[in-house]
Formats: sequence, C-alpha cells, structure tokens
Amino acid sequence: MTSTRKRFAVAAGVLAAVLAVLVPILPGLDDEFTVSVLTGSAISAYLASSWNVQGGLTGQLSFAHGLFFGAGAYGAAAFQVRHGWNPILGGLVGVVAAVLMALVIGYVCFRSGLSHLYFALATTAFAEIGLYLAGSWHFIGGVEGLTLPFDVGGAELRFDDSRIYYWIFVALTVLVLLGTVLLKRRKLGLYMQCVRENEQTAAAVGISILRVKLIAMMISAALTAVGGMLYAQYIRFLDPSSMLGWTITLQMIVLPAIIGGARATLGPVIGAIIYVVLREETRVYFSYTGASLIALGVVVCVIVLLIPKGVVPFATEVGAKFSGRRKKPDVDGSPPRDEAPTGLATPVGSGRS
Amino acid sequence: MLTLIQSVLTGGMVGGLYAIMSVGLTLTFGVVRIVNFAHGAFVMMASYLAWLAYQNWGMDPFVAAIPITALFLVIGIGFYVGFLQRLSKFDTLAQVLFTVAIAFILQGFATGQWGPDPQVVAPSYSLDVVHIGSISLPLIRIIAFAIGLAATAALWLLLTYTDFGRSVRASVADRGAAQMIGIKPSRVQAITTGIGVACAGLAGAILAPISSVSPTVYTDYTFIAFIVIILGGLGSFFGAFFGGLIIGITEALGQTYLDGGIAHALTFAMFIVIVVVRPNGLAVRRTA
Repeated sequence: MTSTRKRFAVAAGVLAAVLAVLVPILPGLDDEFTVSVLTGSAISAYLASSWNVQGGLTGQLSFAHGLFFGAGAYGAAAFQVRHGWNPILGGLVGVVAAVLMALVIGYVCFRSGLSHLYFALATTAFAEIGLYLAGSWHFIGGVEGLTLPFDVGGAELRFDDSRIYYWIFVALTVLVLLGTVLLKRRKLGLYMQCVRENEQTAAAVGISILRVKLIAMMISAALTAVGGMLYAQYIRFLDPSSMLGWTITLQMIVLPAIIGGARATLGPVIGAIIYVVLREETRVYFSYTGASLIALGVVVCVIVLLIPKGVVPFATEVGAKFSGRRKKPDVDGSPPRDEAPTGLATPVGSGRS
Repeated sequence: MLTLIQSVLTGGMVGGLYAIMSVGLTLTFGVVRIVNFAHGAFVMMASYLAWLAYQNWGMDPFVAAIPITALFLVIGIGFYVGFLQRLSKFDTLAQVLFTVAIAFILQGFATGQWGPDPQVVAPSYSLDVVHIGSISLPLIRIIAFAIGLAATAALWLLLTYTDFGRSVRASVADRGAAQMIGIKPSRVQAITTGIGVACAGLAGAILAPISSVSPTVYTDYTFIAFIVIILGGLGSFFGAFFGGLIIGITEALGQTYLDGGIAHALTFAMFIVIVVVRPNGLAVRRTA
C-alpha cells in the first residue's frame, strides 16, 4: 500500500518537474510577465525547499531564514560592489557566514530547549536584530540599499536573458529535492524525522537532538544563502527591508512551504507555485495595492482551517483514496502499525512523498 | 543625569501604553490559549481609525479612543466567535499561521486604503511640554500614560472584584475545574478576547498622536507585545504591566544614548536573553 502512494507521489513529482521545465520554452509563453512569474515561483520553490530541511523534515519552525538569505545575497553583492570580487566568491563568504549564524542561533535556542512557539519567536528576534543592524551597516549599503553593476557577464552570474535565472533555480530546486529524498533514506534524515515526531523518544533511543537540529539548521542555512547569492544577481537591488524583513521571510520562504505542506518533499514547490502565481495574478487583475497580500492572507486562512496539513499531503490522500486503496489513509501522529519495521519510523516514513 | 531621568520618564510613559497593549495579548493567551500574531495589526487599525477621525472630523485622538475601544470590544468578540473558537483546538503552528494571515489581510487593506506612507495625527497641543523642575515632558505622553494607567487599573479591578473577573482567573488557573464548577468557557473566552482586542484598540488610538502609523508598523507592535508578556511571564497581568514599562524605558534609553536602529536591536537582544535564561519571565507569579 505504501508503494501505491509512493508511485503516485513520484509520478506527480516527475510531472511537475517536466511541466516546470517545458512551460517557459513553449512558444508564445516567453513574454516577460510569464517568465517573471515562473522565475519567482522557482526562486520561492528553491528557498522554501531549503527551509523545509529544517522546518519540515526536522520540524523546527525557523523565522530566521531571512538572515541566511540576506547573508548570501549581501555577501555576493557587497564584495562585488566594494572590492570588485566575483559574486561566487563573495557568495561563498555569505554562505559561510550563514552557516556560522545558524550554528550560533541554533546553539543558543536548542541548548535551552525552547518550545516551538518560543523557537519561532526567538528566531524572529534574531532576524529583527539582523534587520536593524544591516540598516546601519554602510559596507552593505545601509538603509539606502545597494545597486549591483549591470556591465558584467555570465562569469559574474549576470545574464541578460532572465530565463536563465529560471533554469538555474529550477535546477537547484531539483537538486535540493533529490537531496531531501536521499537524506530521508539515510540515518541522518531518519534522525531528523524522529526529532520532529517525538523529541523525548528520539533522545531515549540515543539520538543527539542538539546535533541533529544543528546540522539541519546549518544545511538549511547554507542552501538558503546560495539562493540569496543568485537572487542578488537576478534582482540587482538590495535593501534590508526587502531582503531581511520578517514579512519577506514569511512570504518568500515560510508560507509557501507551509501552504504546500511542509512535511511533504514536494510541498514547498507546489506551495511556492500557488503563492507566486496568486501574488502576481492578483497584482495584475486588481489595481488595489494591497490585493495580493489580502489574497495570500485569505488563502492561508482557508488552508489552515480546512486542510491544515497543506495542499500536497491533502492531494496525496485524496489521490490515494481514488486510486482504489481500501485502507484508510494514515493520520499524522497515528500510533505505529504492526507491519512497520520500527515503531519510531512509522508515522514519518509512511509514504509522504 | 538629567537626560537619564528625562529619558526614563518619557520611555516609561510610552511603556504604560505598551503595558495596556500587552495586557490584552496576555489575557487572550491566558484564557483562550491562543497566540495572537494579529494583535499588533489590531493596534495599527485602531491608530488608523484615530487618524481618520482626526482627519475627517477633527476629532481629538483621546476622545476618539472611547468609541474605538468600544468598537474593538465588539470586533474582538466577533473575532472569537468567527475564528478563534475553532482555532483554539488547533496546534500552535496553525494558530500562528492563521493570525499572521489575518495580519497580512489587514496590512493589505491598510496599504490599499491609505497608502504605504506613514500618517501622523498632530492635534494643536501636540508639541506642548510640561515642566517639572528642570525636566520637561511632552503633554501628550503624560495624558497617554494616565489613560494607560487608568485602563490597566480598571481592568485589574474588573478581574479582581467582579464575578466575570473571577471566572476569567479561574479559567486561567485551571480550565477543567472552572468548567466543572459551571463557568461557561466559550462565554468567558469570547468576552476575554473582546477585552484583549479592546486593549489593542485603546493602545492604538492613543499611540496615534505619539508615533506615526503605517501599514507595516504592526509587526513592531506585535513583537513588542510578545517581548513584554514573555518578560513578565506568559499569562501574568502585573508581569505584562511592568514588562511594558521596562521595554518602554529600554527603548527610550537606547534612543537617547545609542543609534535608533541599534536601540531597536537591543530590545530584541534582551528578548532572546530572557527567553533563553528565564523562559517563564522575570517575575514568575501568576496573578491574572
């Protein structure tokens, strides 16, 4: 029964991937608006999937990812503007900075065993500190922001054809998804899911919770920073409120992952597509300035009330029902079933794509 | 020294408003067990209403505070009946997301309706200053502090000496037992949410002449309120009050002696230290 669901999930994944790659090269669909919507979706899909290593797989609701995103973006941009470095080099500095920040933030928070709510609030506080400090840091442009040079080429990650950014982010997203699937099959990934499901039990069987959480956060931070590095070249203007702000972090990274379903590997991708398409379409169809935020708010409210698990797990369940399975779909946190190899792995390993 | 006293006093006065705002949040959390991330958005909407009343009818913000508070009491009850009642059965994550989404809707509405630029309410006496010895305090802040203090005191009396107050405190202390002795949880929760949102409304209306209002200002208010109630201990009435004063004073001191952005960062740094070192608040006594 698990294999049916897995096959369904894999089919859905392949379909989504094929569509994602094909759509922009179909004739007639290469206008600027479509390309920007698709690129936005791909960026958000990548960032949300990167967040998901920590937020979904390990179950730690981090609101600090704006910092990691900003570290990558500012690392690439600031060294380029001030010292003429290649953005990949500066971006690497940013990635290292992001990993170190994740280590410090994670250590402080995990060490004191904060509950989910407190962890979310504390990571928010770290992000806000970063936001305000960035505003008075002149090297990275302060509140006035930083504009990147136009007159550079592909070696500096600067492409005139904006579709290239789309492909880069699609490729990165596919890599992260593959990585997530592989990670889930390895011991570390299993540990992460154990920590998410039940920390006490995980600790009781000898998993070092602090270590697993820290590794998840550092992986997630590094991936997010890589996204920031490329995003800086795509957007070419950075200022603290559009890079590091709490609402930006929520809208670009956290909410797409949760709309789609943070527990499903594909969830963040689907969530990102839903969110970005919604945002851009409402922006075009309604002249009302706040329309896209209102639409996002309404969609999140509806999803939370009706399908709190998110779109992808919901769709998988519906799909499984229609594919003629007689067995009831398992519910989150359901007690381990008999046929499972270990009690611990059951609630997490059972076929969520 | 004089500057120090001056900034402690001006900070403490805004702190009185933070206190009433946070008391609203902590009451809702204590009774309904919901983390309301939309709290700051309600504060923001109240500020906008005070601004509209001033702009259209020249109404004094302190006068406008009365109908606004009443209106927000009703809105709060509606908010509970409409959403929170269902939501209280969900986990924390769902509550956070839902209330964040409500805040986004209000932010979108405010942006569309009144634009992204900050708006200011400046009544004729907005620059008046009261001199006490060689210390000078802005009149508006004194009035605001007095109202904040009076509202907190009134709320305390309500909670301590009325039947409703007793049932609220009973629900905070032990929900099951409260239910068993005949306290209707949904009624208490609805009115408490109403009062909580009314506190946000009052704080918002009175903050309007003190600080400008813009569609994104609410995140600051939400986080200030969270910092305050965690400082004072989640669910604690007096904790929230003193937490408000502490945050107001910290902010003022930071703005006097440090750069504005650094001062803001300092408040959040303090928050992290408290969450990590004393997660139950500085004063761990449950009063409300």
